[in-house]
Amino acid sequence: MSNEVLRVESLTRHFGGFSAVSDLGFGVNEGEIVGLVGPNGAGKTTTFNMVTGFIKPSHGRVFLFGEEVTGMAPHALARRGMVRTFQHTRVFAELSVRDNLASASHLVERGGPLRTVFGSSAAENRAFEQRIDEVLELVDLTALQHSTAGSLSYGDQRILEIALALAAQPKLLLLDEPFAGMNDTESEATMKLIHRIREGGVTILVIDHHMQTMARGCDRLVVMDHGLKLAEGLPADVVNQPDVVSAYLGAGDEVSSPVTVPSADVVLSVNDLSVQYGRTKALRGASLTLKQGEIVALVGANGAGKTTMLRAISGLVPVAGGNIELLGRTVSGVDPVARVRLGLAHCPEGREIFPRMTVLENLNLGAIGRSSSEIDAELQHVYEVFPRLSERSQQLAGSLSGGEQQMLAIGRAIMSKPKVLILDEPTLGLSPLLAREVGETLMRLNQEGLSVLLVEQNAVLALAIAHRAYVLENGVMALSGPAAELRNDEAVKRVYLGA
Amino acid sequence: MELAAQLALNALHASSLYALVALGLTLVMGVMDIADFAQGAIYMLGAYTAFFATREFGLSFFIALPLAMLIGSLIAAGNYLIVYRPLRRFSGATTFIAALGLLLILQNLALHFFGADFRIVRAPFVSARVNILGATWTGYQVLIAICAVLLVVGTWAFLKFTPIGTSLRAVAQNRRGALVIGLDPFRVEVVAFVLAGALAGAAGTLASGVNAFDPSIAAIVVIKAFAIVIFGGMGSVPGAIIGALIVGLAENLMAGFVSTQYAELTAFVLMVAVLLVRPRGLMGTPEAKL
Amino acid sequence: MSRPASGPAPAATPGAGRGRTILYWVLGLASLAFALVAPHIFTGIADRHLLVLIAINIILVASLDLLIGGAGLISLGHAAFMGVGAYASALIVKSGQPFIVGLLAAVLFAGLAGLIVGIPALRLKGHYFSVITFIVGIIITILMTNLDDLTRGPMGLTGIPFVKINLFGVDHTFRTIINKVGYYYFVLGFALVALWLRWRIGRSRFGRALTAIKGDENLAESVGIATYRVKVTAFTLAAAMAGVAGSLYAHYAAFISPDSFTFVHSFDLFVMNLLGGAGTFAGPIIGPIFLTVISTGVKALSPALAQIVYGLLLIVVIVALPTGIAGGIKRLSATLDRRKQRGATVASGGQADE
Repeated sequence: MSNEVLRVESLTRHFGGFSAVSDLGFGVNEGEIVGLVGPNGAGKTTTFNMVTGFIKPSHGRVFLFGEEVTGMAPHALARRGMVRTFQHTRVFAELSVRDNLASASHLVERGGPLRTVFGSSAAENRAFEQRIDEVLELVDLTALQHSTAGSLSYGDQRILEIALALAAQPKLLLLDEPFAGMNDTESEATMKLIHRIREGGVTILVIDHHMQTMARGCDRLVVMDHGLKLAEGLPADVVNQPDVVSAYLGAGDEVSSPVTVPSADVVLSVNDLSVQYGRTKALRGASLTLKQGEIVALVGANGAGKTTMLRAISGLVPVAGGNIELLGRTVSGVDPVARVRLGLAHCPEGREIFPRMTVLENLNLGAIGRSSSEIDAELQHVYEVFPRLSERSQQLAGSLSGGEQQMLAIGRAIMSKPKVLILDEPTLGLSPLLAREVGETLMRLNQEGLSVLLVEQNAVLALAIAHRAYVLENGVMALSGPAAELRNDEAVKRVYLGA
Repeated sequence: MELAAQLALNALHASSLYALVALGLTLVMGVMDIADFAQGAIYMLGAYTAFFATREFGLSFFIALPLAMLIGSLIAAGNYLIVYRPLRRFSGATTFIAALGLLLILQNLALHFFGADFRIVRAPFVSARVNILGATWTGYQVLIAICAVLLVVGTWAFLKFTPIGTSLRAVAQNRRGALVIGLDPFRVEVVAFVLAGALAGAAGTLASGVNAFDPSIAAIVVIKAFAIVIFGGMGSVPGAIIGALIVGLAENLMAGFVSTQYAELTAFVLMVAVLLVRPRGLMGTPEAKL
Repeated sequence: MSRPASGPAPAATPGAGRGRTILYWVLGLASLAFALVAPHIFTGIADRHLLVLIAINIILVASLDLLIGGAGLISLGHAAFMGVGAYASALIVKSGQPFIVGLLAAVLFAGLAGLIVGIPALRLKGHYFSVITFIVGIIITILMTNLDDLTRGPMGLTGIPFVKINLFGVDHTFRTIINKVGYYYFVLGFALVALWLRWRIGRSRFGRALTAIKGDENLAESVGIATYRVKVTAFTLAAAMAGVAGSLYAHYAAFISPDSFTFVHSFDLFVMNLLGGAGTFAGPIIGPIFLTVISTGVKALSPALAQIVYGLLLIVVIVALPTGIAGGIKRLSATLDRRKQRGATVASGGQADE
């Protein structure tokens, strides 16, 4: 029985009325590489944040090398041998690679006032430099050691991030989405690095979505969904379990197919769109069209670029190439406010409602700029579609349940009587029953004449209610076609599960 | 009983002025996350407006008040358009320092043009005496209280019931959500500054009849108002009002029972206490760590 | 895994480094030489007064730079700690103690004030911290005014004794009213120590922790840096150094009052730091020299005008010149370096950036 490095017991975290993580328990043994996987919104990052001291758990305990460390500050955990990396690359951008590692060597270096003022001994300095050289060699960054961290390529920055964690000489390394934004070749190389690190005596816990790489590289997988542990075991076993498959692809094929027939008029067209965040190319030459009366689904794994696509359509992010046409008008350069006025409504990921305002106030805000009679009429319409909102019209939006908040977000979006509605992951964090309700609502709105572009990780539901669908993979359009065809396409499953 | 009533009255008097400035500060803070110290200068200029309007131009105090509010709004809007808006892509520290720069510039322009002499305005109803529950208030103090209440309630009503006020609350609560539903942040921000400027200008005018002033009150008033905002919760409207009430009361208790000198420090002591125990303030919302 | 031959920008290249080090040493020695002969070049009493002030400001800006340039903590109430040190030293020496005790008292009390302020203030992040330091600076001046049993309030402390030291068995008093030159050298010694300390701290483990905090506090935490503790230590240290400057000032001017340590003085220091270049070695030297010269010129016109210029400078510097003069020079030389490098690569027929 090998030593248990990390043990998590009954770990739970609530945010208001919403449980991000419920009663999670698992362990990591010495020398293992364990993968923590699950669809978007499963609670993996919240788990990580609790284990590494960045958030306090609502309940539950964390043990490191047998010692209870629940709620300890990150630096105290690092002192005890646990170091993490971050989902959004964090390096010291202004410093050289070497100086980055020097700062990260804090735990291993000796300090004190005398050394501060008069410097360390020559031997100590030599050892210090040597340690940095060793880390540089392990991650193969020696050639770039004098380069400014901010000028490195995205992939190299992610490697540097791992190197920084290594400089603190951890016994347990927690990697947060180390393969994000990487293609298959790069992911392979990074996984090889992770194995090299393990050979150096470090135990590793990884979160990521690249199922192919994770399944091949990890000793064990822990699958999460909706904040609960779904499965645990060898990758080969876990990946083919039906509940794991449905967690990733989604459920909801009980929903009936759309009955509307869309017209030929194009209401939204995206042509050859490219979007860049700093060094990351989030979208590369992606195109799609939405016709009047259609429901189009945009599916793909997390990090594929779906949210970026919607943000670009709304004008919330700058576009590096390509153009967007809304209702016949080119909208490049048109600000978000004007696009709403043209007839676009956006229901964003995470809902983004106004928590300290009532349901009614939230809805009224959606109809800003319209006459009061129009607002009244639209309000009646929304209450008809969402009866629960009418019951809770005076309640503060922040106190609604997740499903009710989603209803509110959609209701708010349609208050402006849009012609095009784009939704980003509306079923995120919702139970299958509620997800189905959302799907049926969208179909009903579509029957009333609304054109819908739906971004979803829940591919099964999205493909069930859509007329046509696109599949986005790493910023590029991989597949497109009638939803009925894609529903049965093995390629879709591969895109999500890598299997 | 009489002492308590007098204490409460004095506290209310102080609180009403603080509340006006703190309210404006917290609004701007909530909408744009800017510590607009330049509002202290607007307060000071409100006082000077009253002085010159009544002294040089012989205008009634009741004309000077809306005039000061108008001037305050214009200056605040100007600050926003010329300094804060162009700087918005810079860090919060940069905008704060720019605000301090503005404060310095405006305070010293006043010093240059108006001189360093202390002024005071002859306010209406100063000689009238009103008796409330055994405590005495001058007629002017009653006027201040009435004006302050009207302004605070008016602001609250504006925020709650008008579309632009609701938009302002929306942007303060969730900027991304507001953008996505087509709320125009520019309009909201301008309104926030105009409102804050009007409140600060009014506060300065009202105070000018009670306390002698010179340009240096700009800094003194704004830092105390800021301490109140931090104590009550940055961005929280009820926090600013309740904070002002508590600080006004605590200050007068200190002055009455301990010493007048240290009464000045009460707001800051409360601010430090809240920072140690509950950094978000009495009614502020928690900030995420990551 | 293979790497492309070129691409990312080098932070420093070994060959050019040696040349630059020699240049820095030459510049440094030249500056030191100039500093030593300065009182004999500028012989007027007003000019020598400025020299002493510049030297004192160098100590202050070096200490402030520890926070701003070192850790990214924009502290806007720093002059208050100078004031605490000044009052402590003045009162102790007035009561009959030798200067060295006064100096130690200044360090102790200013450091203590830094600790008391730092503990709550550093709970806040970003510009909220700056707001608090600004407010606290004013609170401390209010305290100076109100604790008038001790400090004689707004009237200030007069008759602060001059520094009397024992050099090689001979008692020497720096009567700064008549002779500023000797005291200038005295303060210059402290300034050099302050600069040296700032430099050494920057190169130490503690300094690297500060750099990490400046870059990304969460990342620093995750690699084991106890960020809160480190920040409080730095803040206390900087306050103690400011206390030394305060003591030196008190025994120079022989008179101090709360008006000597207002938030305007804190802004001065901030502008000096930024203008000179935060995080650079020369910044704490260039900044005070520049600003003292400018402000003397402007004050001659009108004191209010000087403040307006400060206000404008504050805005201009923070927006247009965030790295200051020394920082700008560094960037310029780095750009020249890169151009030279590229030129050399092309000339030697090697592979240029693809």
